[in-house]
Amino acid sequence: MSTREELAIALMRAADGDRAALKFFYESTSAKLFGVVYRILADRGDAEDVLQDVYVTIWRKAVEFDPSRASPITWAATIARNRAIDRFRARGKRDLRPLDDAAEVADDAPSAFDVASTSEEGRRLAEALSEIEPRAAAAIRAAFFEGATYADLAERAGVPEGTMKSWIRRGLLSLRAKLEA
Amino acid sequence: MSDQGNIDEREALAAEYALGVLGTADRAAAAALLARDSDFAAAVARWTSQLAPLVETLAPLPPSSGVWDRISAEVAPPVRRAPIAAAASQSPASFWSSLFVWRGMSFASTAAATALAFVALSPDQAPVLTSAPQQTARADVSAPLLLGDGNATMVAAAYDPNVREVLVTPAANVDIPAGRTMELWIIIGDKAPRSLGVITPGAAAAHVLPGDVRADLASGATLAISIEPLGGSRTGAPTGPVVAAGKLTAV
Repeated sequence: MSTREELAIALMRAADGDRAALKFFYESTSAKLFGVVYRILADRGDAEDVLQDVYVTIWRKAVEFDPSRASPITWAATIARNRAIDRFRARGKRDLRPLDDAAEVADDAPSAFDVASTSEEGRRLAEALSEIEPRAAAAIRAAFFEGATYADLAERAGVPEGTMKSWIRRGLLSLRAKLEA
Repeated sequence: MSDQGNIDEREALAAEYALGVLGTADRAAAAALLARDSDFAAAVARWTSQLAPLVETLAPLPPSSGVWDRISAEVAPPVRRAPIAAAASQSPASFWSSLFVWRGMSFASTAAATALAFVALSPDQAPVLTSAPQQTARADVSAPLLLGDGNATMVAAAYDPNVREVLVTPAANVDIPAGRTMELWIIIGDKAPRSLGVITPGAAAAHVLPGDVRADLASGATLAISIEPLGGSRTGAPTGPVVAAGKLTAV
């Protein structure tokens, strides 16, 4: 039985009120989800508050998880991303962090832990991202994780908006070409 | 694809919308297109699904050890559903006590190994159980779950995890009192029976399993059939005689 199946079964058990299953799911996925939340909030205290909220949400929404539509880790991490972006926007502060470089993408030789908590789709996407232009990859990640718009990204990168739009469009289409190759 | 001039404008717009990078006005325009153009909506859905695993591409970072304790404190203990005893108090006790006896037998007879349960479906008798040992040792929800018998008055059930349905095929010659119907129930552990709907003799039908019962199929569940008023039990619990029951076991 693969870990993806174990995580899916844990979610379904959690949906039926099994707290031990939720704990197993937490132990298997919390570092991955905390990586997502911390990436967005860049503040450990805020990120841990949101992480707590994320797992309580997972517990309540586990009954909605559909293993035919998403991997358990993608499903859970999407909840984490949305909650963290909500918190980020609620701060009401503009983020002027520079765009990250490609080093942020998870390592090509993942640890045993990463194998346990990354789906095949996630591994393929990480690989494809590492192959496109680094500044496009960084901008795509910033848009995805922060809801940053073309105007925000252009300001942070110090380029005209049209240039940013061109980077991202080419990056996305190149990404898809690699995913579908 | 590599030539900028060949980029499909609409496909790019779908990608931008899925990524969430558009400014307010452009996003509103794209949302309007989404509502009236099913091809564009499909393109957005495809991009959304392709981008979703981005959440996994970040390096993991362990949270502080205290976070789980805070989650654990906030997560309420599971709500206990009414046990079977409560259902029995609302209905003729003998029906469910016969099921209790039967279930005790089934656990005893299958304790050593995974087994395939066979149940006779006869309105006049207590359910009859036989069992055959199976060679497979691994319990797995993806395995077909079978309930049935080689005799004439049988019901066969198979669980398909891909569509989360139990396919039930009752034999055609089941004798049901006039003005009555058969209703299918699933029982997990000591929880109250859950209705999976009414069944018609001779007619194969798929019965969707509720999400919260699917997880426990791997450890075994019991299917039971009771005789109910047309349209099924009015109370949400079995009210008529249990004419067949069988433990679902992985094979």
